Amino acid sequence: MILISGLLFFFPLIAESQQQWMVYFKDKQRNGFNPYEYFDIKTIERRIRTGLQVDDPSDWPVNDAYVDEITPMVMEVIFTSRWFNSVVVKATSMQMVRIMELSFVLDAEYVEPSALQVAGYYEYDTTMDFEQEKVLKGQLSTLGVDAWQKAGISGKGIRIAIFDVGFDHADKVPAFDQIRKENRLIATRDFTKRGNSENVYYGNGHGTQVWSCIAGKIGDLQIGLATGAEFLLAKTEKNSEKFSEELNWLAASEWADKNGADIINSSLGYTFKRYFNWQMDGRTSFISRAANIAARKGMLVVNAAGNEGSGKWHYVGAPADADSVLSVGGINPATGYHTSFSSYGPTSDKRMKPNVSAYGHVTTAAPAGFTSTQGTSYSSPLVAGFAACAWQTNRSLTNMQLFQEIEKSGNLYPYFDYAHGYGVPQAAYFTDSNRMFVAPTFELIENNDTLRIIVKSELSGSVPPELITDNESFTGNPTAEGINYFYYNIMDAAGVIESYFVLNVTQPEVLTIYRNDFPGEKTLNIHYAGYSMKVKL
Amino acid sequence: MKKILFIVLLFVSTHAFAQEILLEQNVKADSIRPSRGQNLKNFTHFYIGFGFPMHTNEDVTYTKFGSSISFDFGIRYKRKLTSFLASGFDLGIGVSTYNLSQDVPKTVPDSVSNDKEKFRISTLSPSVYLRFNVGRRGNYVGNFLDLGAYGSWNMRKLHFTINKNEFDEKVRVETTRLGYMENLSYGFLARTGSNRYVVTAKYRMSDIFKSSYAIPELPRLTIGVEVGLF
Repeated sequence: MILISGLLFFFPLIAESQQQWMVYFKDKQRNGFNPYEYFDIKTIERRIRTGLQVDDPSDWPVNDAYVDEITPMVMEVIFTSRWFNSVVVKATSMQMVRIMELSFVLDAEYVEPSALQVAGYYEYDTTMDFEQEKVLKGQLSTLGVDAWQKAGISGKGIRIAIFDVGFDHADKVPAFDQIRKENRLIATRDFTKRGNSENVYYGNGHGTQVWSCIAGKIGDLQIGLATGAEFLLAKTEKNSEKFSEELNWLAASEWADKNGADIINSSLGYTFKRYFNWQMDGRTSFISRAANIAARKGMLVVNAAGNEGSGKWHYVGAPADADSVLSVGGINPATGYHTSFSSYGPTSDKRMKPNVSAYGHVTTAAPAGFTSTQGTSYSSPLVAGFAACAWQTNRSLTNMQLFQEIEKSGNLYPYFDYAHGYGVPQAAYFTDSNRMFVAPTFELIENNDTLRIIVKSELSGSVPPELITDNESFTGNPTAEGINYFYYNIMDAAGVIESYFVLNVTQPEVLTIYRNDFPGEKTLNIHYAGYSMKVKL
Repeated sequence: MKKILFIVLLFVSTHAFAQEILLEQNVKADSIRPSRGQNLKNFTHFYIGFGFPMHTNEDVTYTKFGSSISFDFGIRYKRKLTSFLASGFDLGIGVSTYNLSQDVPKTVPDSVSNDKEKFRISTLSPSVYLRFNVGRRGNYVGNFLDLGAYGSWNMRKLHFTINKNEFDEKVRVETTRLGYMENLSYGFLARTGSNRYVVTAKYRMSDIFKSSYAIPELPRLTIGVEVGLF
């Protein structure tokens, strides 16, 4: 109410112009809602499998009587949200003042209106240069494509919803021929348009490239890991970072839930144009709140960390800040560690983000042909494809159990930092129960106040898992060019990392730490070549 | 020797590295909440802009559109009051050129026709404004409307004419310290913009010529564009 009054006070012109508003209702009833009729059978199966109720109040429809009462008071009703128990309307501020007086209205939020786009056409080019081939190989091999293939895992039976800015020519790009042929494209919806438009194949090719990083395949050439999965495509963005895109995201999430999605891949994020750094606490932004509800419905939400690492914003955006969102950072294939543009964590309330990492420079199937591109937008679908494969190996996992298992499969785990999370997920964690654990790769020499870390010159031998306790890790794929970096961080008593480093090891004595320099309860965490250690300072 | 050892140890204080640091992040230092920024408590930036004097019905003196132009450069301070309201001030320097039409009846500053005739006024202008923002945003200027007032010290006032003499040579006559022109002026301003791109309007309330000289006024309204340098 204060917001509306403020707007009226400062902007008399707004009072008579049409604006979009989200109107929240105080309550709702079940009113004969039948989840078995409303939801796709896969939604019901997912909820039962993950121990959720088949339906809860957030699934019940918004009270029609409330919507009916509001409808004649506004210019247009745009959509209703079951999860937020709200209706989005187009109304003048004067109309909103009257709506706020209704006894069943809890609150209202101003949201910005939207615009539309058009499409183009291209011939398809399937040639790749040497560098593109090399990157394509790496983007999958670092995630263990060979292990997935050997185990016959391709994300079969997993339904993935992709929210993006557009899927230009994805209906014709050959990378998805197999999916179309096998009717594994379940549904499409353009949430940036009014009505129920199903055409998402226009505008921007970003979504086409993202999809290819999840499941693209031309002949025997794989671009993503989940080539056997099913798909829902939703256009939620318009290249503009308008608030309405967050509403679209919410509407798409409810649609994905209704249509049986197991995983949502969302290669988007909202930062300085909409929020402040300190609002990245996973509870403030609208889209993060929506993403957390989506996770509570049993879907695994995978989101790009963001590309603000070298910008002023620096940190992950929304919804990558949400605690139930698996946020994915970017790795530079040329170096094998964090790529400079990939957004850093932690969240403003000091939780670890990103959770895991994957290549941030990739080869994708774009609308016109193979192309090289970069961004955590592509790291996210690589991991979404990985997640589909991982879930196929064990369908009894809940989404949050899978979330944790993917973190545990990271090549740095149990070590983490705010650039890489737990590192690049490894298929072997899910496919190879006899995997060997890495023997200590460095020595810790304590001398009074001084800690010296000496890297072993030859990394050989292995020890059985039962001999490794807190420092357990497992053999992952080596980083690019076979380089092993030395990772370490200083953590405070609350488990928050104060500073972290990646070193290029050029001689055995890699680090000396003076305990007296770290007053208070601090922990030194170290990772080198698959082996991690925790030392109290 | 001890001194040298001490200096060496001082440099190698916290962590002694034998290796190349590829990535270093200090989370503690990064966590300090800033107060300066586009949509934070204080925001200061430079701006540059230009505008064209526009004729209104009350103008008697006609200037040539296009070649009459003003350039501005300055610094702007914005203090955030609420999400929707801010206030601030500018300090700018500017040069305004009025290219006078020689059509009869010519009255400014006299009735003599010339091949070319211009006023050029250099100003130092402080101004104050209230800013109304529309739309929710983060640390981002966003869409806004500014309403304010300005004063100007007309630091340097030039009048010059260009004519051809009987030898077909150009003769330029420049007159400074124009006694018929006011030293100070004031008026209102309005700006509307999105982030760094701004459309500006200034309306001069004061007369530019001293009333005792009874010279018709130059255009009061200037409309232009401005770019924030941030």
